[in-house]
Amino acid sequence: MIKVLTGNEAAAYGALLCKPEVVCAYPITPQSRIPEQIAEFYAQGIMGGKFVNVESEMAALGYVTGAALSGVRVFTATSSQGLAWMHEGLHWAAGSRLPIVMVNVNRPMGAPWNLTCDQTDSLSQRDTGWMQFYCESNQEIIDTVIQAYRISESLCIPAMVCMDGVYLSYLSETMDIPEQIQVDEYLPPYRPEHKIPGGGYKLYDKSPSFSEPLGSDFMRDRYNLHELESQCVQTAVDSDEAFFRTFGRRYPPVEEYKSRAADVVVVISGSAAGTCRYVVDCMREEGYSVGMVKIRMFRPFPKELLRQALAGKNKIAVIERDISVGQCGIFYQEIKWAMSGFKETGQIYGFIAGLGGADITSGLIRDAIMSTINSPSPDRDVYWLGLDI
Amino acid sequence: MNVIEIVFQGEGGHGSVVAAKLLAKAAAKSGFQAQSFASYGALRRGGKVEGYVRISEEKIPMHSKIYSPDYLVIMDESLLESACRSDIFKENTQILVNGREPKADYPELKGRDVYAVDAYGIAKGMGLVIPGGMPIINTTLLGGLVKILGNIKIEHLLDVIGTSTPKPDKNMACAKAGYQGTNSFFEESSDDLSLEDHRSENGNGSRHPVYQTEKMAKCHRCQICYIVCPNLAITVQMDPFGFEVNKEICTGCGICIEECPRKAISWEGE
Repeated sequence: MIKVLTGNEAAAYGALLCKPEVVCAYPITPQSRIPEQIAEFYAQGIMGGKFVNVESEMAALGYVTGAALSGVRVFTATSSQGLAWMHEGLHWAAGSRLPIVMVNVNRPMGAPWNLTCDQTDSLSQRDTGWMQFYCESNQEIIDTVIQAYRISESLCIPAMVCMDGVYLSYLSETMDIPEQIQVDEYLPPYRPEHKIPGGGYKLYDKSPSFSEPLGSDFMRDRYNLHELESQCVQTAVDSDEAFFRTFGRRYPPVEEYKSRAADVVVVISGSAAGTCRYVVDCMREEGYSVGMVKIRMFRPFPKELLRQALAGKNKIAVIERDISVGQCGIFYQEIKWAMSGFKETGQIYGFIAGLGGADITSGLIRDAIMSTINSPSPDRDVYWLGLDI
Repeated sequence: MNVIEIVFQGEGGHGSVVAAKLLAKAAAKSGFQAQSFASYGALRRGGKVEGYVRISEEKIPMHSKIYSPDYLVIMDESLLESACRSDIFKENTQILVNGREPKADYPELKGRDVYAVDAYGIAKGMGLVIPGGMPIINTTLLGGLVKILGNIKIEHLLDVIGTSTPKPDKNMACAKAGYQGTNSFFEESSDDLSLEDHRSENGNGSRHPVYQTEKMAKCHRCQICYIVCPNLAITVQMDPFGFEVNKEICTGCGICIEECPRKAISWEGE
């Protein structure tokens, strides 16, 4: 069904189609529309299960963690300061091996107050053990929520679906809402072994949170989690293939756009990837050998896929909407790590743009590409885009 | 790729964001790919707001704001001058202004397609007003814009308005009237229009708040007016200590009048 929906509404429709049995989310700008829309679904009687109001983000994650422990499919959503308020619970959910799906709307972390867009909030949660996906369009948001349940439930690892605040969360786009019957086929009901057939639940006693007395086997739990995480990328690729067969759309963890034969490649993620496609098209017509690589999956980091995509490229321009202050961009850091020791590595330039909701325009992306082309080699770790220094 | 870009320029309360969203929905009904979003200034009535729409036959990849639109809708004629002073126009930008007889004699508009519709009059006539009497203008302007655009069917716009606005009948009537009542501005009055730059001393031409001498006695210098002004149009005077409205910047939103706890500010001439 074709509809014009905002990113927030797309996330809510994604949740609706996946039929979670418990939804608990605390509203925060620019995410508020997600719990509002879901509450409307409940009010209209088209969504089953339970919708719970709580007093904070920490309580929201705590509630869905408890529900997930009893073996039901759950959904929550937050943003920025709310995500930070959940920080402790994020570790707990991943350590307990609970397949929770959460949408995070990327908003800057204060101070100063800013209600727009910045990816540092979720990127700074990168070591919690959650999978992370960054979406480019509203269609990708709804599709990623559906995929996230399948990947998450097959490995018992929680997944975070991230969208840019304002630039996607408030942006309405023409999109195709998948048919319920197809979603049901792609995502069968969640039946973990600890769910009692015919209704009723008992606690998920195989979850590491209950498995042993205080920390006696902590290190083995972490080893198990780490080994499982290394399967996530392959599971994501397989789930994406299955998604393509059912819905005709695909979103690889690392997408190559006109980059195969390009000398200069922009690495980018989130909503700005769309604007970058347009710039690549324009510059290709002008005769520049440029391409784009979009990173959709950030945790676990798809190292091998990225190496394949960037092998033999002369110059790589990483444009990102985040910063590890005092260090460099977070994607830049990860890409440097992924390419380290790989013999076919080109020069990597790190551009910071669009912090605090500043617009990443086609002009800025073009500037970054041109300065990458014209520079003999990078002379620093951070180039600031769109800021007079 | 061929993308039509549209900007609605208004202030909080004009309905620019809803207008953008309704237009995107109507475009989707007419078979186009469409996108709409907004940028907010002060996030309240009277603050600057821009609504953006992109329409194309192909999937639209861009996710940035629009700086040089193909069509510019000015939600209140008082905002036309600030648009003319900015660099928002590109070569073929067409303009739709809400106004009965908008002052459109700015050199920046010379040779452009400028259209006008009296959205306040139409909406008031249809009884589409909020409590307090302020007309709701966005659906009237949408009717006019759809006429200028030419590629979106008015039936599709009416369909969308009918299903997603709180007062569907009145809003649909306004859109129809806007569709019929939008005319090219220069064609009608090109004879008596001189294209010299003679902006009035009153800046953007609408009513402005003033501090009157007798009322200033009531002022406690609490600076609430200075703080609430979304456009920083109120300046502090030192000798004697007090305030002044810069009419070049003031858009006549009246927030300061509303907020002043001592009633020391009033409309010009009142």
